[in-house]
Amino acid sequence: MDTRGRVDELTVACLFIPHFPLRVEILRHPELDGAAVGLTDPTARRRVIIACSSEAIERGVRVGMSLREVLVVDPTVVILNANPVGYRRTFESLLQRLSRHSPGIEAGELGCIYIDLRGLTRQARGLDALAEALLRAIPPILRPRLGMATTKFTARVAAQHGRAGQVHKVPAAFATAFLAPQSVDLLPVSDAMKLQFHRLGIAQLRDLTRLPLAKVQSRFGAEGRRAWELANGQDREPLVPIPFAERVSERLVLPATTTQLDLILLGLQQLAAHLFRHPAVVGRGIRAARVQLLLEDQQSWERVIAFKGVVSEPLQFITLLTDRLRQVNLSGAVVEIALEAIGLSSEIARQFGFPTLRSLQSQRLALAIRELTQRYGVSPIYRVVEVEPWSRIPERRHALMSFVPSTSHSS
Amino acid sequence: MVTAIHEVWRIDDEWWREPISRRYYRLLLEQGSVCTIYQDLLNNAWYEQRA
Repeated sequence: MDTRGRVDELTVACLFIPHFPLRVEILRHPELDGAAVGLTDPTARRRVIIACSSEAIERGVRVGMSLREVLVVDPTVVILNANPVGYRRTFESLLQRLSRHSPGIEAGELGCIYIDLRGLTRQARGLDALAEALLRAIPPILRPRLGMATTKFTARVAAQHGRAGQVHKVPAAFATAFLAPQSVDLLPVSDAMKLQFHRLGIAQLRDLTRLPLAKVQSRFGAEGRRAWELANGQDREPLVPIPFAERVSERLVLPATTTQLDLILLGLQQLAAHLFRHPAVVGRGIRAARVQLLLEDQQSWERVIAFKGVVSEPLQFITLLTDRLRQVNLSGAVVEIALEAIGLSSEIARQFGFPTLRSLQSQRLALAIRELTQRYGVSPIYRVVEVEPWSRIPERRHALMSFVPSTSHSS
Repeated sequence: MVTAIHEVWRIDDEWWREPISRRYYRLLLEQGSVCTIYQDLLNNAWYEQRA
């Protein structure tokens, strides 16, 4: 592939690590590099292979096979329990490493990271030096590949096309020619659409570009239009850098491993108490929480619990967590508990309605308010009314209005 | 005493009638409470935002 051309126009890089969970396991167990390895989910009711190395595939192992079938195919295949928390932590550490080289880092799915290259080549003394620095930031055993192009999709395909530890550059002038022989399976569309493409004989991107856009869109809709544009090297999706996220987390290493849920919930209670005393959380509410349990044998369990509203009371917070975690099914003893507050909110108060206004008591309340109004001249009960909720001036958003109850309305 | 500054933002509005120009600060106080204050950039006076 002749990649001469305006390489200085390359604005996006994609760092791609195929079979990311497996590579992370091999990072942890380097002696398994090159071996036939399969991953299984220990929490699933039926233990099947959820990912396997290329060496395992060569020996006949497939995703979806049961462990019994794998033993029949090849008993020497190494089976490991998946550790999703570990994979995410490793991925986040890679994002942090790359963020030292570029302020614009976007996380794709696990193992795929987009890097904004604009304005960096001068600082890095050239594009090749920058590519080398990006690859050096990743442990070589993860077998990272780097693609550089002018659009995200082309950069990603270039990375997937390349070899481990190498960079593949595709200038804009060559993008269409580079993409033409690639498989439609590389398009970021649904599996159903890919199946339809194959059934219609559209196996490569060039087959798609030969069709008129209007016909593709009328047959496949907006998703088809996007596929056609990507196949033609047109990608209007911008790189969206990771926003600064305020993260507050607490960890607790248990003095002894345990499988008892009550002890785990007690540990969570302690973590919640610490969390609400954290300076970043005081006076604020929490919209969701991430609970991570590290188990024996490097296994892990994780759940993100989103609340219906903002929770600002520790007791309410722990009650909601307890309700959600009662049915948890762990595959091993817990070694460490981690609790993270997500979506910190500045909401500090909430106006509740008057539920009693729909009952007979509402009449008594209305009578009391009328008597007070007659005595003092104004109603002592007020309600907050939205006036200009969109206003940037806080005092313009709401107004206090005297509450005058009537028998016909409830609040 | 102020322990931390959670947020800082500025608004410039209603330039067509009575201009409003303020810089807001959302503060964490020593006692653990949170308050919002702002400086009116037109007269340099400081106020506490109650609503």
